[in-house]
Amino acid sequence: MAYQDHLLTWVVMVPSMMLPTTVPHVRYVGFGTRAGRVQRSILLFVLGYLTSWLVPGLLLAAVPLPASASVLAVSALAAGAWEMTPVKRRALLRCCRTWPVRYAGPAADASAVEYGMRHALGCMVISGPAMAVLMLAGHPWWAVVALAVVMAAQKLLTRPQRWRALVALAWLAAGLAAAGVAAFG
Amino acid sequence: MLTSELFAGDDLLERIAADGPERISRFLNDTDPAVGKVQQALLLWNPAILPFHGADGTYGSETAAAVVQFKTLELQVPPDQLFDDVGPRTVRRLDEIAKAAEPPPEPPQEQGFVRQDVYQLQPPGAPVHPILAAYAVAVRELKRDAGPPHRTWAHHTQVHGMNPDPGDGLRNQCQHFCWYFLPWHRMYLHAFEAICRAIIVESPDVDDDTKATWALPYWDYDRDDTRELPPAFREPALDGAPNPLFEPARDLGINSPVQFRGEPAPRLARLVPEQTTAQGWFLSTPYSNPFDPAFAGTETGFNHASAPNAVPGPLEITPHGSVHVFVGGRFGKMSDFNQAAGDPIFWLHHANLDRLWEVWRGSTGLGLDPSGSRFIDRTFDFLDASGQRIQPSCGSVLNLANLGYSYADTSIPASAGAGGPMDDPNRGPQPPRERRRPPRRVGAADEPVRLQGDAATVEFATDTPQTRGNERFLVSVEHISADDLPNAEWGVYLQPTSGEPVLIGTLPLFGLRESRRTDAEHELSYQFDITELVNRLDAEGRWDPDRFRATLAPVNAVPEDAEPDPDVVIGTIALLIQ
Repeated sequence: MAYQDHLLTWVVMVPSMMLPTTVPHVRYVGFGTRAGRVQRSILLFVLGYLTSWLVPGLLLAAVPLPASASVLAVSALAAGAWEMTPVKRRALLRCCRTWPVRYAGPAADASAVEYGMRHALGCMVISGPAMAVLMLAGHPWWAVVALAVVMAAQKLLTRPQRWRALVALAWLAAGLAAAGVAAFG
Repeated sequence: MLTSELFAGDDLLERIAADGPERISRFLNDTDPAVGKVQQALLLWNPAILPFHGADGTYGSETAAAVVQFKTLELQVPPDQLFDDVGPRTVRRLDEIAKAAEPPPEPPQEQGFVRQDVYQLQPPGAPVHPILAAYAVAVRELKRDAGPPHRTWAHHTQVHGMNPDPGDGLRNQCQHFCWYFLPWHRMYLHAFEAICRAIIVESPDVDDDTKATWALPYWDYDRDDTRELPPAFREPALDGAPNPLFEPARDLGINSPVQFRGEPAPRLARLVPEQTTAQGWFLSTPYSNPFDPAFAGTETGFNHASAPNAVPGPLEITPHGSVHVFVGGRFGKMSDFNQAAGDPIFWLHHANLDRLWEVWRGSTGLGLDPSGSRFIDRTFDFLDASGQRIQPSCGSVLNLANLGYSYADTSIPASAGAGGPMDDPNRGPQPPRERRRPPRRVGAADEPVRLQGDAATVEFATDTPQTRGNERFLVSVEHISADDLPNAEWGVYLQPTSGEPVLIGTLPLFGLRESRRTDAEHELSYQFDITELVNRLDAEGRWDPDRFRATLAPVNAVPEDAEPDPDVVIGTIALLIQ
């Protein structure tokens, strides 16, 4: 696949996988702004959100894909380790945090973009490493679906930080499997 | 004074025990009813000691020989001083044996316990009431922190809040800013009360009447004569020992008088009516809504602020948050989720909130209990009086009769401004309300509002419809952040086109510390329903539909020695229509 194809896949994959947990924020922005400019604010929120995600996408799309089994093994183990960091725990707890939305005018435009970027940054801290592994694996559809379910559950379930160990173990298993393929496959 | 059920109240035995001259022997009082009691007590000491006649009520040779044996073996009386009669030492020791043989007192059945007003139990100047003394006994025992978890003060404090979360599903479980706030705290108090009662029933320092009736009191602070912390909680000493109900980590003026700014003499801190009024919560319906707080907070998942729509209900703001911050101040326990339940007044404060929920359920909220499975089947974990883990559901705690307690007074508070249909005892269940759509903003401040000095103002244009229907008006005060709690509680006042500003609500900021932590889920946000106020001002020609004006000002006095006020910033103030 060419660079632009990988980038396009990234841009489609990210919002699709993040949709369930982003909808409440889209609604918050929509109901927080003047009636006549709801679509405009939502569009600006999405723009800020996708632009933020585009930055790591630009870098990852430059990597030859799919990556080798050893690279996958290392990245999966790194994603597992990331699950157990305090940074990830804090990000999960802050996942539902809202930001002030201005009512009208340029301030409303700026606040919608800023909200989208702040929310994207939080999502990247939570899901960025997992999304990177998925990209390096060549984004196989079954893995995309499985990871989307895990990430949505992690954000939406009660006390999400409690499920981190389980997710980390799953990454460990995936990393060891990839390492096995690298060594013996 | 004889204490066993067998001997107590028997005149002859009481006189002998009091070193009187009378005796029981083969020649004196040998058929008195007391003889049968002595024989029963001897049989408790040694079941084989009266093999032929048993407790026949006659003081014959067998009973005389048994008494001699008792005196020899139990009382160690030398042979040269032995007589076969019943004297004071024999009666007193047999009384002790009979008392020890009595089955332990049964914990009273959990039926009909009545939670009473702490100020009715002990008005200022009155001695400590037995119900409060018994509560002190339970708190003292818990504060030893020496027993199993459910018998420790630390555990009960941590059930409310603990950082970091131990992840055991029992601690750090408090529910705020959501519709589980009221049922979770009801379960919490019920479990705590049962544990206190078990301790009280075991205590030799509590009388039987108190043991049989003890229930957690409540603090009804919405009256002019009850606005100071109840006296029993202010005294550092109780009966010559440290008072377990006293907590030094409270705000200035709570435990002892201090000088307030601009006032002539020192005094105790007093809640002001704005901090205790029922105006905000009493008329609010339904119980909850998905997108606005209604009576009890927005419908969310577990825990405070776990969703973008998380907002507390009006009862959770005032008086709940207001009283927490009033007692705790900037540095006290009551202002902190993780320490609040460590102040013994916490439990009386929440008993009152639980009572106010009952007031609402019996009047404005009649027939409006939530019925969906997300609420009814939601369970939370606690430890019961035996230390076993229990999982009551929200549905199981709606009806107080199922929990075995009631409140001495569930009349509508005067501050509710009720009168008319709400006071009608024959008023039937309310029809179910339709699920509302999210409220929409019709105007908002275009920059943050800073609370500094004596007052702040906010004003913005609104897009409210020119023709009025049955809209609901809400004022949303969102994304409040601060370096610390302010010294005073700020009120939000609507400024009509003419006349004095009218109170919309207060901003107690309970939970501010938690909202400032790096893993905080949210900044603080409040919503106030001002529909009734807008309708009234509109009818009086004092409502401007095109412009919203509000003033923010402290509602209570500040002690002279208070720390400088921190910077408090409100991210947005908006007017919403539904």
